[in-house]
Amino acid sequence: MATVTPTAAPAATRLGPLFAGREFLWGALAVLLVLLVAIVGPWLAQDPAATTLDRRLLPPFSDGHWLGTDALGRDLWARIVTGLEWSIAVAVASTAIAALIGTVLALLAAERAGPVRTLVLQTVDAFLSFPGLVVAIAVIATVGHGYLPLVLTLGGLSWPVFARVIYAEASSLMQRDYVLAARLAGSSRTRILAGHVLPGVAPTLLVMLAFHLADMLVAESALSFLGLGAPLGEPSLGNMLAESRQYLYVAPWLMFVPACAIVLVVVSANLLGDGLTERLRGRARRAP
Amino acid sequence: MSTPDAPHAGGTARAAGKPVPASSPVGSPALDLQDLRVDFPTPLGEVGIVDGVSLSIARGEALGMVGESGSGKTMIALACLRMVPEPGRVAATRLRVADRDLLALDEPALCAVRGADVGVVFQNPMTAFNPVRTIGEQLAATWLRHRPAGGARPSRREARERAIAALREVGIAAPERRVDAYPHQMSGGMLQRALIAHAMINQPALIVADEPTTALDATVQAQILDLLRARLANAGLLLVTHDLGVAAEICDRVAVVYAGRVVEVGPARELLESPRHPYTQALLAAAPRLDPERRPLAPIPGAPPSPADLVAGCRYAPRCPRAVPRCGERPRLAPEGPHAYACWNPADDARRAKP
Repeated sequence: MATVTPTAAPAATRLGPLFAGREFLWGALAVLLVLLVAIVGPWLAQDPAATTLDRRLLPPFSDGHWLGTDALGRDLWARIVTGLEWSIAVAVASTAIAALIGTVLALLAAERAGPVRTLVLQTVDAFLSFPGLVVAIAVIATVGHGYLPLVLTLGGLSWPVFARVIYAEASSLMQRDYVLAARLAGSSRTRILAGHVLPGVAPTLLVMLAFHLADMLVAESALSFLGLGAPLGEPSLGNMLAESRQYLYVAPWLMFVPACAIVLVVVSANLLGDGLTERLRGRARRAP
Repeated sequence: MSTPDAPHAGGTARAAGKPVPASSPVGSPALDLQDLRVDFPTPLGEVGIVDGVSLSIARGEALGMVGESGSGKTMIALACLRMVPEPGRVAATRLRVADRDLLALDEPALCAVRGADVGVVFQNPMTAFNPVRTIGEQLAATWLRHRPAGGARPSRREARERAIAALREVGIAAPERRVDAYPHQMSGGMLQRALIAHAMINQPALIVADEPTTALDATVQAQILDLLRARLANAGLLLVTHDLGVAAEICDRVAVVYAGRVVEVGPARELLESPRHPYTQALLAAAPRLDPERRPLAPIPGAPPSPADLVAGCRYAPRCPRAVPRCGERPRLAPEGPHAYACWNPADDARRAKP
């Protein structure tokens, strides 16, 4: 008697449906939550600069300071939400700048053969061959601190990532018959780029935006950690991490709080990126 | 074709006996090409893909352009819109579409001509529409783009109505519903109809159809050809094909292209019944026929020449069974008249030879 016993599905598969296809939902929720905290938080929290020297290095869940206080007795929650506001503002703006420069140049290169394309692609290669953070340090050290220099440097150095990927997509779209058909029907170059190519690269662009946001947040934190990001007195996830180093053995939560915030934001953005990939491109990729 | 005063010579000589429509306006031909050249710069020097082609198409006339792959027929078609791909260059002594001198126009003005004065029907209708926009949107966009500046700007609703009407004209059932369909929701034949509607939506003077039936089922091909012919009205049709049968079916005149040159041009029936150029003869001998007498197909020996190494004189000479010493000299299209051929040693006139 050969009875077929149904084999138990592997644990991964059983847990699978719980998460399958929900990256987008969780990612979007997490990112929205982070944005909400970053925008609303600073209004509700205490003054992040108010020092209370008799209440220094309090552990989390202390009276009146639920995340504790730092070495100068400043409320850690207030500093985290203000730091989050700063870090997110930097990440969003530099991502927008990078995406704008990268997409425009990529579309230009895809549309125009000849010297324009060569110039753009060679510039992309040149930028990608430099270690970004080192160049960023050099630039900021020369130009100076502040929101605008930081954002411009991060955006101005990371656009080639967008240019490279968008160029590849756009130039393949430019070969499509319907692009030729549109040109033969009298569409101008700009109209074709705006009406046929940009919508075609939009899914890729959205996915890249999510991932790039995470990259920029990490880059901002790294620069702030080195003292080149947020100006003195402006809390940022990176410089909070740097300050906490001296108290690592006395008050380890000082390090854990900003570190966890960075991880949380990066994971949320990556989750959103994965979810977008699944939603926008997954169907095409999975097709047999 | 060489005399500018008689560009309709072929058009009026409707060999099949079809009368010229009375509405056909005398005057500007749909297309008037004189000595067209398309050159591509290469490391080895300029390569002439199209070399001295002269053609004209009258209003309401269909000209079939027949030739092998790589003979330059698509280049000629694209040159009619000044749309030769980079880095190709178009030169001609005359390139006019409905009295517009395309050689004198700059890029924005050319954009205004494309889609308005010239409509294009593609080989593969499945890829000629943007898959993420509805058929109606794409038809309406082409219509809206070519509304004259100034005056009341037509509403979206008007454009939609126009798209529905265009779809109805090409025989698409329930155009009110089809106008909102995406390309993947329609069959190949229906999409080709929609593409014809797209090409004709601005009532162009010239329609260029580049192998419009190659991607379609045999059963749909005849319908599409009939549709093209029937909707032609006052427009001229340049039908690019490698199928002599397709050309014979709907065209008034046929031009045979070899290696970037027109080797023979004439009224469709006359050219097919009594081809004078050896290449045309060979093409006909290579085409399968539904004849009671069964005979093997005769392939043309050799391969079409690469544009990079062409012989001087007649380009067909190396493959030609009738080649004579004089073939080293370039033959011109002769005699003047509806049926002309570029050959020093043409075949006998099959019609005259028979008693």
